[in-house]
Amino acid sequence: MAETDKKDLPKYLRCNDCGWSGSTFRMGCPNCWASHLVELESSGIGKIVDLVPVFYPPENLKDLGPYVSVLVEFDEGFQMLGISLVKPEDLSIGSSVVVSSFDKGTMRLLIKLG
Amino acid sequence: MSGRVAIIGVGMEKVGVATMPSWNLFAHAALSAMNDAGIERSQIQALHIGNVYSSFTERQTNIAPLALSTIGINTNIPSMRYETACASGSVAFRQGYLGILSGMYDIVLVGGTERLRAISGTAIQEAMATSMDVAERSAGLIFAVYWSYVAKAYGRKYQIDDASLQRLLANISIKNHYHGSFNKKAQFQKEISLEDVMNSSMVAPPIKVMDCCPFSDGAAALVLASDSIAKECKKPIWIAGSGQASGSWSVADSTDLATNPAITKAAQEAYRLARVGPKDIDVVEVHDCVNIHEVLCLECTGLLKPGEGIYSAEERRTYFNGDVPTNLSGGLKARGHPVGATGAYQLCEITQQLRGEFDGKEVEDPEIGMTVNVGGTGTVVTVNILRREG
Repeated sequence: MAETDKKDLPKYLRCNDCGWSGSTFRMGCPNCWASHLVELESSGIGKIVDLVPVFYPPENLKDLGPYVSVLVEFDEGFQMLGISLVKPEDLSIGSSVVVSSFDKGTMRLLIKLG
Repeated sequence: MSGRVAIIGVGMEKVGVATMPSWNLFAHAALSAMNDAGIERSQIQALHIGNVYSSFTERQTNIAPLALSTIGINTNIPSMRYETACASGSVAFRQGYLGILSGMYDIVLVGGTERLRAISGTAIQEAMATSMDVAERSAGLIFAVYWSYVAKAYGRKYQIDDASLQRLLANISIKNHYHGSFNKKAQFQKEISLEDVMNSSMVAPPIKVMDCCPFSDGAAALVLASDSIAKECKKPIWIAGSGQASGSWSVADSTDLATNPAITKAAQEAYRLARVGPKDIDVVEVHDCVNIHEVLCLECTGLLKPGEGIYSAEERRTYFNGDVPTNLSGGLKARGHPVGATGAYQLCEITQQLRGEFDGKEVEDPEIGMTVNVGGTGTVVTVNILRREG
């Protein structure tokens, strides 16, 4: 059973015409101008594309303490920014990750090593 | 349509920490600009003003008519405020330009103003972050993180190791502080060393404190006029071309963070209208909110080839006496970054360069100058090309 079962997972958009996918809500495809975007739920499994340690978190994330900003490419082909509380030295580009938690209200996405 | 539009007057307040509200700051800059143009308050037909954060930092919205009232203009002319993040000042300028170009007005006051330093640094950062996507902010995005992603993407694209990247970026800050040390309106009129940058606190690797511009207060204003009026003025500087574009909203959806197609699009539009190309530009002010962005601005406008920009300061190409003189004001790093006014400062500075009246480092006898002003995470871009004739 996948580790992400029973969690809220991020949704993404896919274009039925050209296959483009993205994480930010929009009414039309930025690649082919089609209007046939469908909203799907991600598996929550992906790889790190890049990461940046943040030593001084902003006010809205103060409760987390220092964190790592991670740019994740999910298995469905779209990218999304997330937060990892794993030590930066334990993360690298290409690391397999899964969604640890996702808040549909605030869109706060926590990522952990998969 | 009016044939052409010129800048006939400019005014700038010293950038730094102000002791008066942003609308008062703007009134001072506006009166300087009107005095420079040799026109009276009663001749102004519209006001376009850029401002981003007065609702956060001064608990005051609707500042366009407030600024008009403070200047002492009581002729019931239209006044508009523009909020397009760090590009607000140049967007206000462009709207004033288009208003004259349409034939609706003959003399228009434009510019920008900002007062950030009246509140805490934490509150400023919170306010500034609102120029980015709210969901991506909840997912950990702050400006320093964005610029770190950009710098790292650039380093990977051009195979530059981390240590070299940090040194090359530092040289851009050093160059801008060198220029800023001569600019009497700059917030930081002092030079810095490589050690100053390299030893400054790490914000988000590879971005350090001294790679970034400060938060600033300031106001700048310009008087624009139609062809027939400008011809009677002593030193009109003509708006030869103007372009504006919008960039990708979502950082995560960007396919290549080492470039910004919106800068290229705005530049191409400005070049087309001005009937010039990158090689014709004698002096430029670009948006170095973080030094890596100076690189993107220079490359995306074609002033430098892709992959060249990062070396430009170390090779002294972007110094006042180089082949691409860049940010002779000191740029955002040293002149300062009064957000909603920054684009207006750039336009005032290039105007003064073309007139041979800039109170700082100048290029020799320039004819054509350019500004590149960028808001948010590259989401709003203006490029303006100015020309001196005769």
